[in-house]
Amino acid sequence: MTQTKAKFKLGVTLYSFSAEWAAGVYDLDSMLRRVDEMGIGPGVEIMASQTVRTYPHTSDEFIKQWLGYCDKYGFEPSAYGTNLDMGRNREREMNLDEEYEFVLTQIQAGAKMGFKVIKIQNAGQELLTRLLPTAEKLNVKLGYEIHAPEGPNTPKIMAIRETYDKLGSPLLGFVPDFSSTMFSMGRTMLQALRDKGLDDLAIEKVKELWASDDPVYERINALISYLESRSIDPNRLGPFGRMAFNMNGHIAPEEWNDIMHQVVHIHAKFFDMNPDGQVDAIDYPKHVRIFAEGGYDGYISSEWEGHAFADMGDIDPFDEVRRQQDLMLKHM
Amino acid sequence: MATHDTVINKQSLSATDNGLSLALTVPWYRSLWVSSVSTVTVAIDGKEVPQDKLRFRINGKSFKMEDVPKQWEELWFMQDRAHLDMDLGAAGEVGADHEVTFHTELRLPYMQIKPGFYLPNIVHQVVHLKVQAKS
Repeated sequence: MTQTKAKFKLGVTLYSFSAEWAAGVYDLDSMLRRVDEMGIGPGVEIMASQTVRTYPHTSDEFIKQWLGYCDKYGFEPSAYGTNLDMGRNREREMNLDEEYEFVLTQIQAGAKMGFKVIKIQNAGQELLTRLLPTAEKLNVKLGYEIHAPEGPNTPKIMAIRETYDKLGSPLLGFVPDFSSTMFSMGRTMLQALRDKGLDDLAIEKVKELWASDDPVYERINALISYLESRSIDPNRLGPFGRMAFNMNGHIAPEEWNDIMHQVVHIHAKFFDMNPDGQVDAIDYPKHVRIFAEGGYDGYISSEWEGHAFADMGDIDPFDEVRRQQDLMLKHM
Repeated sequence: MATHDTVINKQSLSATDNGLSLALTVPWYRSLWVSSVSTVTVAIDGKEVPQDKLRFRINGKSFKMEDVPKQWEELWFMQDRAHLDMDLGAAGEVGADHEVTFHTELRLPYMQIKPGFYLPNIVHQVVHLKVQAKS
């Protein structure tokens, strides 16, 4: 079998190191140095709301610093993650003007920082119509993330695809996240549910609900009913009941082909590496093959999300990313 | 403790002139507006500290608890600690051990479920901490 040579490059999102960042183990310079020492890259992705102290704005000083680090370590800015905090004021939600300003300032900053892709959190037609002239002027693509439980063909994403068709701009695209296309629930997720008190029978029920296409809230309600019927307090699960369904999806990876021409960036999500070098619950060789054969030529950003389950210090996320990139390289 | 429920660590409790102060890490994977903090309750050795004896201190400012949800322009940067200052009527004793029961509810301002409703994050911790010197 001949292998299509991949045109994409690898990279990492600093979100992978969220726990260490929150704890102050690293500042931006020392974190990037560690990434460099581990031979991870060349793409680097950041989230404005995580990395930038003056969020949603960005100071010239910060931009200068960022560009200096990229130069020093030889990194390429890959994608800039923005958020839309429409509910920051509890008295009233943002109006369209405020939403526009809030996202615009992040897009402008991202472009100045050298990013060619800006991740957007809202793909409403009116907001995109206002943002597009700036994206065109700055030559940046806007990418909406497709994350579990969504997939390329779920109703929510189909609506955005229709909006994109109407607007007809080549700058509008998607950011597939491999959480959508897992072949089973992750080991760390199942362990977390066991730790919260679910027995084998209850775990089987969770797996059954995980495989269903029902909306997340319906699956959560079904799980709550089930647990109550067995006199297990659902509150014991905390947020993990919801996370079981919106952090682990079960869509076929082949569906990414349906939007391949609109893929602008990728999150190579993973939670845990197996001792044999494979990723738990996600078929990496297949994902790499799909995007290589699809001709995708952007960055694939490693996104380790084990920090949602692990205690900081138990697992070295830099080492996890190194091993995950070795796996992808083998199949590129 | 993972990114969505890490808020206190072993060094978090320190003495002040009129009580104790608890250093808090944002229990989420990004910075949040101070207005995202819906409620905070704390009990020391099982005794709840009244809300009017608490202040939420961040970015060089100190807020009454009732004013915390109004601070929508004040960012709680992910690498900064917010301080929950507790007026206990007497200086905190460095080296003393206390059981701290901490509960907070957040409203994630970018995760809208429907207009007016946002995904919450609820963190409840009961920890035994040794009082550190004044920070």
